[in-house]
Amino acid sequence: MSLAARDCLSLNIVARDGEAPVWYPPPAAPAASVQVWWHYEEIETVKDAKFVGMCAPGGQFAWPHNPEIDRNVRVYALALSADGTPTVSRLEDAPQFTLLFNRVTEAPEIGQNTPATTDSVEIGITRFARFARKRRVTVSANADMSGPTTVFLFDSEDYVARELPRYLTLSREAGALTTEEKFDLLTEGGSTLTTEDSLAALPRTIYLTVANSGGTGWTPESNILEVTFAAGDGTGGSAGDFDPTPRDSRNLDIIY
Amino acid sequence: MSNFTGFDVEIDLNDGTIPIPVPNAVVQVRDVTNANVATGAGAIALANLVADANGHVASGTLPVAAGRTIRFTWVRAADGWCASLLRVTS
Repeated sequence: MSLAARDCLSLNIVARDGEAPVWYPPPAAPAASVQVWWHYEEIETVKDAKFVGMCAPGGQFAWPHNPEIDRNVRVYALALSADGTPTVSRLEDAPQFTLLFNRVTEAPEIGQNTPATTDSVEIGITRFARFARKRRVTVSANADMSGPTTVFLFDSEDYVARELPRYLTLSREAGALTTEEKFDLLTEGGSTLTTEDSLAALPRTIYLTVANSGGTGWTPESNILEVTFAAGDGTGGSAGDFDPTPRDSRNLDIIY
Repeated sequence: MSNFTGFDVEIDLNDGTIPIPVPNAVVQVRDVTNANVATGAGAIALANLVADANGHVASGTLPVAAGRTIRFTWVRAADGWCASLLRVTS
């Protein structure tokens, strides 16, 4: 430590404590206004960002969002000083965050649709919105769903109108799931969805649950459905008449 | 005779606050044009200046030729605060 004399280049005679740390002004000041931009994630980039509006901090914005797009939304907040100078020169450098969406939150309901045969059983699924985009089917040999035998994932990209079907067929031998067209479904005619994995045959009695996703995260698992395939002679299979098809009904007896 | 521009005598606490003026500060004046930087030999002492109640020393004249380098110095004897300023007269 030394006692040092230096020429002062300021306009005044200014005494400063040489031991005091150098003070700098705050690096940021409150923004005078904010521009908001947005774009869909995955299918768009920051170059496709659309301008929402500009207001003082604390303001609110609203912009049209098409849920059919089925994508999260990326939002950018570009702060401006009072003279209109932005804090960053490129939008991708601006503060940004992702708006997550989830349009399906209710656990689906599943049931056996027809009596099980030796090698297949048809499962009906209901209580899900048309915006459900993905489906997870968990199959286990245990009633508590522990140690799942396999987990199937479906994406509505494979279906017409991007709507998940209300039926699936579980095949025992192949351990694969197929979907079949029903009279009021918008699935492709005769389409069959088969997993690529070569799976071992399922045990005769299995338990399965279904969860859907309409954005971020999965719904709670459905009820646990117990299914028993028929024995070799075609008997002993579990029965079911669960019908997931929504339909109107009218008792003709009360029409006058 | 030559001129010098006015200045303030202030204490800067270096914390972002406005420097504090020193009222009635006594400012020493030296012509250091030909002074030896290491030893100080050759400096010519001139008459002191006194700041006003706001710590301001008004522009004025000095009994030196134009173009001379002047060092204004303020020292507070009580606690040792000190500061200086170099100016070239015109």
